[in-house]
Amino acid sequence: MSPRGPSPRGVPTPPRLAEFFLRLALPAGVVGESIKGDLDQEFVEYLARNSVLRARAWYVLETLRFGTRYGRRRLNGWVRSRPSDVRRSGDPIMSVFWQELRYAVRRLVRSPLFSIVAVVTLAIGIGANTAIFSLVNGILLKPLPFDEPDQLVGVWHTAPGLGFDDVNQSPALHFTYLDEGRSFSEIGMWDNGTASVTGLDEPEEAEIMEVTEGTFRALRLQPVLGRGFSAEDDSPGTPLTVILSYDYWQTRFGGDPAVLGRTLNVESRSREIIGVMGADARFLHFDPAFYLPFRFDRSEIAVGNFSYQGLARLAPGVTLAQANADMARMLPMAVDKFPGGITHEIMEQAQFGPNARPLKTDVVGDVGEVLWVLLGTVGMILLIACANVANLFLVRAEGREKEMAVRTAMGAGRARIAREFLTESLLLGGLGGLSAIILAYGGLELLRSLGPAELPRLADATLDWQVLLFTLAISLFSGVFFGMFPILKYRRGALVGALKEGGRGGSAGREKHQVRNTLVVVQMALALLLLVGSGLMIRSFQALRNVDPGFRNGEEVLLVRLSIPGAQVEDPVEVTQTHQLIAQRIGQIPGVTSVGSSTSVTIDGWDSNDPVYVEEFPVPEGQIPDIRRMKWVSDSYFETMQIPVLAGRALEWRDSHELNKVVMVTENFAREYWDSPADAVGKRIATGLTPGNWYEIVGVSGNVRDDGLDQDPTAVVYWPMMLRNVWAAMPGETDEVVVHRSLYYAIRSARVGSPEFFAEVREAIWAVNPNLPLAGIRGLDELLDRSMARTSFSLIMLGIAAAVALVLGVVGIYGVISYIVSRRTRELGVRLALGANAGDVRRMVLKQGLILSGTGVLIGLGAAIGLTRLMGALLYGVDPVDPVTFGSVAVSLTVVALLASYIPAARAASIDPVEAIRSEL
Amino acid sequence: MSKAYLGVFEQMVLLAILRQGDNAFGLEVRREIEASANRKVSRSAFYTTLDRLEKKGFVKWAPMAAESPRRVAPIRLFRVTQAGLAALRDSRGALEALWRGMEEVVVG
Repeated sequence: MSPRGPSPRGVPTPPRLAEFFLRLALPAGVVGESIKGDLDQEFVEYLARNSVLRARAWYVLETLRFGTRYGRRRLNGWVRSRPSDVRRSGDPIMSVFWQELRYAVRRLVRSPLFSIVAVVTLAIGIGANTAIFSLVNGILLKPLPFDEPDQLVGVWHTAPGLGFDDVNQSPALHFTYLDEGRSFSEIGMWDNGTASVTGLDEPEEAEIMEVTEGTFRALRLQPVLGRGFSAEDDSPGTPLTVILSYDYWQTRFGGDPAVLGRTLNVESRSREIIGVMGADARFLHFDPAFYLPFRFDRSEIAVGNFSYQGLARLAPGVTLAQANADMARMLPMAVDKFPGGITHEIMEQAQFGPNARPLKTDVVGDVGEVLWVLLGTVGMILLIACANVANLFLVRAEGREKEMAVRTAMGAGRARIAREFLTESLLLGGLGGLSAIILAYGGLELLRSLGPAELPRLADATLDWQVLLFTLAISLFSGVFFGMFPILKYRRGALVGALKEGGRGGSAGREKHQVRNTLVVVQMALALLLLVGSGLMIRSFQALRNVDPGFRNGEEVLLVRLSIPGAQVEDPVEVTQTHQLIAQRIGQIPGVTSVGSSTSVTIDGWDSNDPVYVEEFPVPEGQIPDIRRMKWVSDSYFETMQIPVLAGRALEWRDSHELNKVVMVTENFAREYWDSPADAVGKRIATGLTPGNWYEIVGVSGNVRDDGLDQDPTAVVYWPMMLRNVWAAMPGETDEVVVHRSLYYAIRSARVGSPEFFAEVREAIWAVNPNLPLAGIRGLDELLDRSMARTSFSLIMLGIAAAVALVLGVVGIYGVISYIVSRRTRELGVRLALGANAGDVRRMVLKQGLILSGTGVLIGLGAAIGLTRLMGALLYGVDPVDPVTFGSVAVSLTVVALLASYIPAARAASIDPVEAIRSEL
Repeated sequence: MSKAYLGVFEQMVLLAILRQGDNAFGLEVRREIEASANRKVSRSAFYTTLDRLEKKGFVKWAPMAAESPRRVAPIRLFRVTQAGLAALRDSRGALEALWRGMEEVVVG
């Protein structure tokens, strides 16, 4: 907690990073706090006369100016203090350590350019690793934030016979497991969705979570206020209840403790508030406003309806395999307990089986691949950074050759010199690590503010002690790594050699460059690897951008979801009329060219799938036909989305009003059975438990990539939004008229994006019914962006990594060639004096650069062929060994490396032979 | 013990502390110097000089709770010690001895 104490709400405070920096420079205790207090007081006074932005900028500048000067003076005072001051105060080992450290600081302060370049390079390498590791740690490694999280499993099934790896939970199976299960101590079922809330402020569509009563117990979540759901709350016919999330309680009820017993109007029905969840109670990766009990009626369910999420807590000592065996035992029981749905034969044919798995898998999803690839990538960055610093370190050590040789000759031990190098390198590593933490902190904040949809559990990714331990470890590793190079190089014999040769400032021999050349070759190879990686991501991104989603000109389409709850309008016919009225009203807004609606629009992630029978191609008795994606549309949907109608006609309002038994299918569905889309028109299909309730195909639309741009087009069947219940044969069902109350409106207009336009749309909707909340408001193109989120995230991260690698690699090769030139000044001078022309010298130096970069590029290409396969899962439409990417990266990297060598080469060619020979004599 | 002569800036800091009296807090002392010398005083030079004067035993400070609502952090009230006063006297004496007879030369 800041000693500044709590600042009154709303008063701007100084930037936190500047404060952190200031604290580093100031002494601890009252002295430091009072000095900072002086500055803070001036900040407040400055703020009274200037804007917040100016005041904060002033604070940062003052902190930087004051902090660096004052901090440096304190450091100098400490470095110059006599060794005896320190020796007096402690044990001998510590005093030697402090002495070494002081000498190291003194040496680094004396060559500030070297120190700054080394620390910044290391900070980039270590910082990138710290940031990415904190993601890996927070998302993949940390257990879920629940009590005994290892016991938590996601209850899934599998049906390979139908081509489904993952099948969700069904109410009938849930109750069977609940009644008959032996391996779960608690079992729950949940689903997320939205619900309209009225009576508070404006009507709103809130994110909600529906749960069975055991769900919270399985997660061991307790409300902080009131009680959790009981079996009674979860049964039909009892009073309606709701549990609020902490945030919703705070924002809508001002955190009023007397909220229990009050009511909340959800979907136009009032529910009693019975509890409030804790502030840190997160429901997996969802953040619902409130929780509702499911209230399933056991007498009305059958095995089927796999649209819920199951979770359970394993009983103590039970393994995942045992739980799966237990579920397999119960599956046939469910068919008998809840008949009327899936039969034993169908289950057998589908090869229906259990697939319980760690709950973390459900939360984390497929982000693991991206993160591991990234961690590998930044690991390479660290290696490149270390190679760079090692090179700098070697150059510096060579400057001290004579000094060391003399000292060795006079009896200084090898250990003593090694200790000096190690202290210096570890100090650099430590400083790099400290700066890296600041970089990583900034990077994580940035990432969090961008909030990529791709990353679940982003809140769990923090710089906690595990991450800091990791940072410490890699800082130490880096320090030891580049500190070892001069130690290995300056063995006693090597130094004596240096003394012999050193009289003339050492025209370095071939052997001496070997270490540095190797480091540069490694750097170039790693840089190539990373560039190839990001090149492949760019190609994937391009390929995805060129994929046709099925609709056109999405930037001109606004999406709004409208739901008409049964408690407001009960009659299905009236619901359809209301939707039609709203569509007409929106259509009258100036600039709107067309309005359509559907339960789900292409690629919005909402999916509903059921078996579809084709009259001409019957399946054998008792077999399930292919499961197809289904959407229910009103009118003008295809026109608005600009999805072409290839044959026949599109669905219209009259199809809903007249309960016409008509459907549309996509082109790929039509071609699966018939030769052309036109042939499909007039054919009949059906859904439900058994075939027979036939619907005529009246139109065929273009293909749509409903499952994402990187997936093949999904076969879709479009139904009218109002129709007779196609599941009438199921227990508890009748053939009443059913209507899809929740429709996603697509509104096409060139005015999409302007705030006035949205206000007019809202007015049009509320003119028809003022109690309808608007939800899911976004542009159609945003859905495309979301579908590409994983690719764009990987692209950005790999792109940054590759850019850093390129800069470090180029700086590395430039440094080495420059150094070689400076060491060979005399030799080059002699050559020039003996008649070599400038072009020859330039070519000679360039050749050296070419050999180094060429070797690096070749090794890098070899490594890339092996390693890019690891990122296969991130790629789309491009081969992991794409010759275009490999070729262009190899050529550009070589060219850039040659350019970097050209500067020292030009300098070498312009050496004045007389000067060179004289100065080296 | 040999006499310690103070640098000009050290003298200015000590005198400013004396002038501020019961109000000799860090910020106020620095502003006093700025007002009388009519120039900006760098923060790092100021605090480094205070550190040095404290180490020499010329200045002492006591922590106080800040009374201003603008400030929550502790605040230091500075005071010049007897040794500090003696050093100021010596420095002034030495300067005056050197000045003696030089007014015409310097002022012209």
